[in-house]
Amino acid sequence: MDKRRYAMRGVAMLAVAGILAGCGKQPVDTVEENIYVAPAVEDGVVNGANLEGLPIAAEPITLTVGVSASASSYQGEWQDLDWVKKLQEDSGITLDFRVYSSDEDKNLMFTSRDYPDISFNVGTDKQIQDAALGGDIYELDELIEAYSPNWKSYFEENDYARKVATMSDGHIYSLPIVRDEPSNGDLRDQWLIRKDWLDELNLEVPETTEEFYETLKEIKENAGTGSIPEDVIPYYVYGITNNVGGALDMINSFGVAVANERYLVTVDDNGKVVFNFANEEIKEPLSYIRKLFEEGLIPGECLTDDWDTYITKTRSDLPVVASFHSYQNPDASNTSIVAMGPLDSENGKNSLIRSQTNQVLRNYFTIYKKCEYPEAAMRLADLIADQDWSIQAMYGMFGDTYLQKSEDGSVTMLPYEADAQAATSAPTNRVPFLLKKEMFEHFTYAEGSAQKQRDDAIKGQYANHIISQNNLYPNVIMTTEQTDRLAELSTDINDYVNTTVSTWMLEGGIDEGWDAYVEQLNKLGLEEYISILQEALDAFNEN
Amino acid sequence: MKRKCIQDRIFLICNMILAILFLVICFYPLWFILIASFSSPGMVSSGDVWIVPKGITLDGYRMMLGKSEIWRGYANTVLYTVVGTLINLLFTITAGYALSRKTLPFRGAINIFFLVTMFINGGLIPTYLLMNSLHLVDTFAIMVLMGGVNVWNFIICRTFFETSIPVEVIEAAKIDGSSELGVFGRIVLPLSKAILAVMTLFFAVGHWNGYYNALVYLRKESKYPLQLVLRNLLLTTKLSPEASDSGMEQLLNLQSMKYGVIVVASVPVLILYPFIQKYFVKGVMVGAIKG
Amino acid sequence: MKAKNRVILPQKSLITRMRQHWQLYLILAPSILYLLIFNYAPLYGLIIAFKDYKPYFGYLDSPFVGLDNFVRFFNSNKFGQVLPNTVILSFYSLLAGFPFPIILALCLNYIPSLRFKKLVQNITYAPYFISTVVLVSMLSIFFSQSGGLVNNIREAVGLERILYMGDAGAFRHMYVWSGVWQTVGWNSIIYFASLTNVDESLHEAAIVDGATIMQRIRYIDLPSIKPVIVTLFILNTGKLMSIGFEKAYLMQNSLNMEASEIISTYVYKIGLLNQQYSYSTAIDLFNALINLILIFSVNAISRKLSETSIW
Repeated sequence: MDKRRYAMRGVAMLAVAGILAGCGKQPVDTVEENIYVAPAVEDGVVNGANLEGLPIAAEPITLTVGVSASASSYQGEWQDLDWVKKLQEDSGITLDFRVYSSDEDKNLMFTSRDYPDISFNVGTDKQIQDAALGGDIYELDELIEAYSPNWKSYFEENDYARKVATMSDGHIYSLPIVRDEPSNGDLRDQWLIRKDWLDELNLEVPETTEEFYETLKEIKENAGTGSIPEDVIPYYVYGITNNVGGALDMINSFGVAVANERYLVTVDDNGKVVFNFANEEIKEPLSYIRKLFEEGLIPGECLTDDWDTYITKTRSDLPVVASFHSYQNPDASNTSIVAMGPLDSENGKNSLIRSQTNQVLRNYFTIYKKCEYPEAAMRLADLIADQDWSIQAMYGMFGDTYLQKSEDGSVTMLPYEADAQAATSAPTNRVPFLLKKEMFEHFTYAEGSAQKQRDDAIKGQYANHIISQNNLYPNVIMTTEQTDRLAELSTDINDYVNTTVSTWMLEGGIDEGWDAYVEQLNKLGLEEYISILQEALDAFNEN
Repeated sequence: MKRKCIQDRIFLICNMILAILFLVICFYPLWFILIASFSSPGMVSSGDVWIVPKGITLDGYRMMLGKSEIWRGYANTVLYTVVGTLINLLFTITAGYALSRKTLPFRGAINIFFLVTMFINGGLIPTYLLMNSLHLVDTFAIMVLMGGVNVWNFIICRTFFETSIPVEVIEAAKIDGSSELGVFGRIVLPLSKAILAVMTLFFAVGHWNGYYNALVYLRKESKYPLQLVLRNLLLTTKLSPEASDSGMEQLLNLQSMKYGVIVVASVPVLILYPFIQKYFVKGVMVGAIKG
Repeated sequence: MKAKNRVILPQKSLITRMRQHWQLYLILAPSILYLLIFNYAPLYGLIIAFKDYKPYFGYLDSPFVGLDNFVRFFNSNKFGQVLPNTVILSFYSLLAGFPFPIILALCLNYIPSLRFKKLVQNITYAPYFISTVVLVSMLSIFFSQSGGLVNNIREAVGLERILYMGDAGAFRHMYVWSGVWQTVGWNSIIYFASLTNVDESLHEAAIVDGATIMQRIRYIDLPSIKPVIVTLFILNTGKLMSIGFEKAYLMQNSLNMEASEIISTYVYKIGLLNQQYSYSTAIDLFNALINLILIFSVNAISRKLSETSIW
């Protein structure tokens, strides 16, 4: 009861501070309630948790854990995952999952302040910031220092991860998920083409944009011959600017860097935010793609299809699509469908292909003030961050089915059906694991697995074309004002870019419409948009 | 007389054609769902499936069989539907009848009191806070209590009572010495089978199809109703495609379930309708008034 | 109408009349109590429409910003687009969707064969159970440019194929008519049930008098179910602005945005996904006010014209 009264007083004080500060500016000072105060240690036990070794719990401990429901969409339920069962067994902590299925109920958790003890992948920057301001979550700095050697040393070695995890007041309120796995982060989508059809037509895998165009035309002309179906789709893109499956890498082939992990922007070598969708140079790739649409090499339906259609069309039993962009190659053996590109546009610029900025993502582990065992919770996080636990979370348990660990510590992935992994074993990237780059230096992907094929493609043909991490807009932390304003501006701007570019694809008129388009973008606040992004980026880099 | 016969015959023929038109327009898409649920998802989405299933597969149904959460969701939904509907009926029918009585003092004011709630609500957050302080979050009770008084249906009920139960019948019964509750129970309810049937159907289907309250108020997957389970299966990855990088092949499998789940989830409510229909029989009133 | 009743009824004191009806108050009490707790108690939440709500300040202590949230909505770049889109889509849905259930109910009422009648009823009722996600996938399959049924028919009669899903002009028709299709059977149930309660003796008398079916529909059936029709129409106008987000959002793509961006989809993108609670509450309140104004006006008109009022 006392605790609660304190919290209330804190809130009241904050309210006064907020009003005094005026203009809706938020106080950025540390909220005292969030600070962790270490209790006394007795016989190597602190507040129900052993200081070292397993189990973590020295007495029966139950933690309620807030998680996203997406795990149940095609995986088993949280309680049933082998990894979760083993984690509970080894740590001695019972995990009581509270599942949040949508944005609505996650919002509710934060606005009602009806929290679980800890949460995994629940919470946006804004929500965590608000909860911190409300004195509702533990500042993790001290807890990491005391109970998580894994995260402590990682943050010391890895400045970027530390920056990403740190909120604008300089404290860490939630642990990130780290997946520094080259086969994942170093590339967004592979560019795939049906090699079996090319072979039938005696064609080589195209290397330039011109060859690509000729190849697509050839495929279309041969619709209905051999294994090429009557209704063949020579080139399928899932929209133009979609981060997944979109045509961004076609544009990148012309050396004009575009990415859409959030804001359609990239960063130039001087650290300036660049909005290439308002840059004259993009007219060349757009005109090229328009030509493909005009000649029916890309169907207009690409621009209106939904996600399900993208999945079914690119992966149907009877193939209909010749070339498309996708994270995984549906043919993991890389024989009937092969990775191609990026294409040389012969305009003198190096062709590019996108990488990702999802190596470190914030807000994957939060401890709320109502949690009675913050030490045990932090030790649990440390356990998950252990390399063995982390790799098992991603790819399934050690043993005879998923992963094999040899005595020298190297880990080998066994060939298994992706289905099996998802159904019973691993939570995959939905728990706060810490997969360091070193881990993958002695990690062997199973021959014939999708991830192996991807890894090979990245190390092989894409190696010299991947857009550097420095040129992608990083996962920066913003102030609430910035987030709010950006939400509005980016809805307007992204929608306008998408609508205009899509219309150009169907009806042409890029050159004629260009000036009016840029003018309208400026009217929608492009300048302010870029300056907010720039400001946030600069603050992030200085941190 | 002759002219009338011809006119009526023409009318009946046109009426039949109209009915057949309605039938076909509504039937074809249903047929499509049925055949799509047995067809390969690729052929469905590329538009090859029109009249008969193509690339016949039972994958969708087989996958559903293996998903225990679907069957558990089924059981939960049946429970929420039965209990929730009873509560709804209790609230709505009684309130609808009471306010249909034009002699009731303050009737207008109480009507407005009901009606206002249709338009203005405090929003999700304060409602949630209240439910939380009542300890109703993540309970069975909240699933059957939420939306307990449905103002829309209340108005339909009231209108029905006002227009279909002659005031004379009620007055006569009262003169015979019946109390208000006696009139309601012995005279009005038996005359209102049609509206009771409609309301049962409306409420039951509402509970059956509802997922929003579950989404907001339930935290344990073991309590999820069927529709929320299905929604999570079909929609989550759609709204955040990047979550699915490592599971694209599973997503394809989900596609094969897409139409099957509609079939499986709709069958019980489709069966419900014929039961309800038998109360839509003409002449109930006539008999009552004459008797 | 109240005035009329008073003339007819013997005048008694209010207290006496209330005492006479105590049992009716008794059965009303649970509903009133329920609404007080579940609907009226949370109403305090509306104040955040006028505040810059922060969860950590709570409802009372969040800074007051007056009408800022409303002004922000009216001044936003999209306001001029989403408001007309919402209004047009709502009115279109209401007007297109309203008559068909009545027609279907009348049509069913005059089908001589009981079995066929039941069959039609059951089939027309079924589409109501198709979830929005699947409905939208079906739309995109039926209206697909490359292999869709509609375009196949167009081609067969010599017309060019159209990218319906990406046609802003087609969006509203597809949205509204798929909605009509989905709900016509369901919405006809209430009319059908009302028709069964029409006094059979009226029909018998009319038949004796030599009335045609059309005349009976016009002079007996329609007047009998008129109160239900009017009531439902008034109720429907009262939810005009609260047109749901999900279907429009799922049907939305960059090409039809011009027509498919409505208030609820915009609020979802800006308010809900970014936790701008005050902003979304303000917009909800704005919608509710328009709905209230609409229902009051329609009700007033109806009271004048048809003497039916929902309060």
